[in-house]
Amino acid sequence: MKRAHAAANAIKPSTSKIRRNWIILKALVHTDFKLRYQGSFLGVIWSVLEPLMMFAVMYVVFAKFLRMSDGTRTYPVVLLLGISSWQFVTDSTNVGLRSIVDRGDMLRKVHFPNYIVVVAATMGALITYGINLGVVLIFAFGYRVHFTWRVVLVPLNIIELYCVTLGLTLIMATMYAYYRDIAHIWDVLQQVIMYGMPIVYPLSYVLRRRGIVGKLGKLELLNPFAQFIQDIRHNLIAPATQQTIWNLYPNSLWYLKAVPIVLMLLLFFLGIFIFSKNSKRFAEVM
Amino acid sequence: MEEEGKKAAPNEVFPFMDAPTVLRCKNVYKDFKLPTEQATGLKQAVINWTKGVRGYKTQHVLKGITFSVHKGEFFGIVGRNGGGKSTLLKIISQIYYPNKGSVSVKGRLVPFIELGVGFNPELTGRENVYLNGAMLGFSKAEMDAMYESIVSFAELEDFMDQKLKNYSSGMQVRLAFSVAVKAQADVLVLDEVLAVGDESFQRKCDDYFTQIKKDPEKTVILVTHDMNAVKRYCSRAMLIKDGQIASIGDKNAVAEQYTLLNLEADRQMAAARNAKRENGKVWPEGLSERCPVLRTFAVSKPLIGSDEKFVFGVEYEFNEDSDFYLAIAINDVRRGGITYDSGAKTFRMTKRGRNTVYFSFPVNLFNNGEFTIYTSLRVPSVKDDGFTEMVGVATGDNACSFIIRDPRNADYALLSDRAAVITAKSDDVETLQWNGWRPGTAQVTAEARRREERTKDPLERRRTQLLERIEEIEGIRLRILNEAKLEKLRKEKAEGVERVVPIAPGVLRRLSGVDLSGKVAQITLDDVTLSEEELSELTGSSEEAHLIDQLNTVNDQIIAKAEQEKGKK
Repeated sequence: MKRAHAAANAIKPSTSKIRRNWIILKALVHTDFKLRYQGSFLGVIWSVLEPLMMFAVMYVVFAKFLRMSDGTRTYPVVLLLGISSWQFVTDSTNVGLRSIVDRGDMLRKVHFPNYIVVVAATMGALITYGINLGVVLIFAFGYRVHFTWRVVLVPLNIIELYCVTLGLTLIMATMYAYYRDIAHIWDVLQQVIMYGMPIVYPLSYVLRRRGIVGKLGKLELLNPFAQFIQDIRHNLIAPATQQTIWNLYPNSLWYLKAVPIVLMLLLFFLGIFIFSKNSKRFAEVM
Repeated sequence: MEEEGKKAAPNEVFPFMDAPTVLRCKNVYKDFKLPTEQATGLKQAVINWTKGVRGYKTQHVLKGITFSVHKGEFFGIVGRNGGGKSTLLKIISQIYYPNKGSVSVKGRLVPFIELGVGFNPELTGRENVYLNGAMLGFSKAEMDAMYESIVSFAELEDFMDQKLKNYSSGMQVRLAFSVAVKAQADVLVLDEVLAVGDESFQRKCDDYFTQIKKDPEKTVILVTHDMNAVKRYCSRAMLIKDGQIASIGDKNAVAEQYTLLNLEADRQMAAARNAKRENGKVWPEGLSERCPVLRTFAVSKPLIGSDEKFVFGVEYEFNEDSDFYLAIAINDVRRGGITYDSGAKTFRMTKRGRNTVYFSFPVNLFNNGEFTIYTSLRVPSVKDDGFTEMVGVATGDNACSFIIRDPRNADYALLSDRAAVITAKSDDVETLQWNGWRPGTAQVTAEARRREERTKDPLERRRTQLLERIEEIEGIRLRILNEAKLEKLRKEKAEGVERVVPIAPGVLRRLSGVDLSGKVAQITLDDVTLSEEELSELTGSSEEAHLIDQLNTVNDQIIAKAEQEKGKK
């Protein structure tokens, strides 16, 4: 009878490590999503409403009020797409960098690979981004955008953006475990980066300016975040009018064209390296 | 299998030792950097760095731990707080990593450092179970299969869709334990989780542990402060003291060593509290300028059996001119009170200055217990030479404790059977063996007495025989009578006859097997009387009357004989 009892309860969990990590990842993302809009009336709708409201404000202020449009018909779509993409980056980094410390009690009591916690945070942001892309597409149809073959490249661009975001988040999560200041530093840095990117204003606006400002305008695209977001805009909506590093710089400066990708790879691998080196100490430090 | 640390019982064989190893710790070291100044911000860190303040000191928590656990064992880890138990557990669970040495685990190890890790109060019970299961590596499909058994074990069927924050703490603990139990780990590691929970939860734990103890497939490692738990469940135990293995092996021996450690610690604390200040020097309690050193220390092992003598030494320093004595008192820690006192003027010291003398004390007379020896140094009283004054006393840290443990001993009373036993003087008392131990001269049994009786006077023998037989018949008669009364009651119930019986006030008696509900409350067999005809129906024994006659005859004969003897004298 004991044997039968044992057999009935002999459901052993999956032994494969990768499968186990995947299960934990799914559970964490699922839980985070459920908890995110806990107790709010509108619930999950906020994940769409937030960027839409931001877009509405930006559009009215910058495009209509300050007349900073790039002149194309599809500018609102491009603006929304830019905002959504940047929203993904900020979401990922803000939640991700705090994720290790916030889940500190779990890390101190159970063993599982720490990076899953950070990846879960970025995945959550990615899902929200996906929902927002859906809204963007609705807008795009509304504005009758012509889609070109370049749409196929968009997933690749999103992957690039994800990698650089993940790398940065890993680095910052490690630093946050030791020094909480990094959160405040990133708050400020975030704003600097955003205004140094052609999201709320079109790049053409800067390029038109005379003198050194016009020249510096080009440098904005060396920033990997800017470049990838521009790539997404370019490939998805408006290949003709969106400036990317590929069309703005002459071929003679090919090494400059590689800069964003190199920076992405650097941040990504550096992030993994720093994180894994310190991963063992997290449980003790917190 | 090489294992460091003193073996508590080197020649004992433990169950499961020939099973494969599931956990092996080799030479594990762990240090922690304790920050002396917290630098949670960059500013503080920079300031500290420029000032050259290191900001931390290294604390060595584990100093070379080597042991292994075999499959199927129930392994207990005990030790005082701060000894390194929890750190060792976290290293085993791969939450911390050792600075030196290695830990290898074969099979799935599930640690329960705290029940309900990852429980989120905002989620419902159901969601939390699935989340917890996911943390342990179970997919949703696997959790679906286990869900029913988890919920029924926790007895929370009606509450699973409520948010966890609405659960009482007992319910939360039950749920967490239920998930832990069903987790099907190969090695289950528990850190003092038995300490929480109400009585029924404790019982659940108890049931589970006793069941799992027999399972050769499951290994459990339990960290606890409860020595009863160790003695009940563990097949083997380990004592950790100051980051090293103090003892490993027999669970009872380890439990006793832990008790001893705690006793020592208590004494040290009391000594520190009572430290006096005198002439700028701090004197421990009991000492002074006149008697700067007085210390009792054990020479024998502090844990001794009843056959040994406890040998101890007393170190003293006394430089005055007068005679001085050592008075030694043995205090019973467990039962309280002074068990033995040597007397104030029994031991006179011949050597002045600093010296060490030795004494021995036999412990065969005592049962198991914990004792402390207090020595005092005395000088003749200035006022009256017949009395003494105490100059110094060795208490607290300077006293010495010992523990008596012997399988022949009991645990409750002070004196063992080897000291003295109570002898029965009446015939009506049958003395059986004492505690399984038969001391030489004091053993008396009914058998021996009967044997004695038989060699005695034939008249006496006859009398005894008759008495016994009459007793027997009485017993049979009573039984038959009770049966008849019972039968009568049953018949009455079948016929529906009601019976009203006055119940004696304040007396509660119950008749089992006969249901007399209704007007009749509770009655006893005594209340049932049988009529003459019913009595005569009983298979009575006329033999009894016959025997009583015989008994009377024999009694008369004995009395006559006694008178004769008296007359002769």
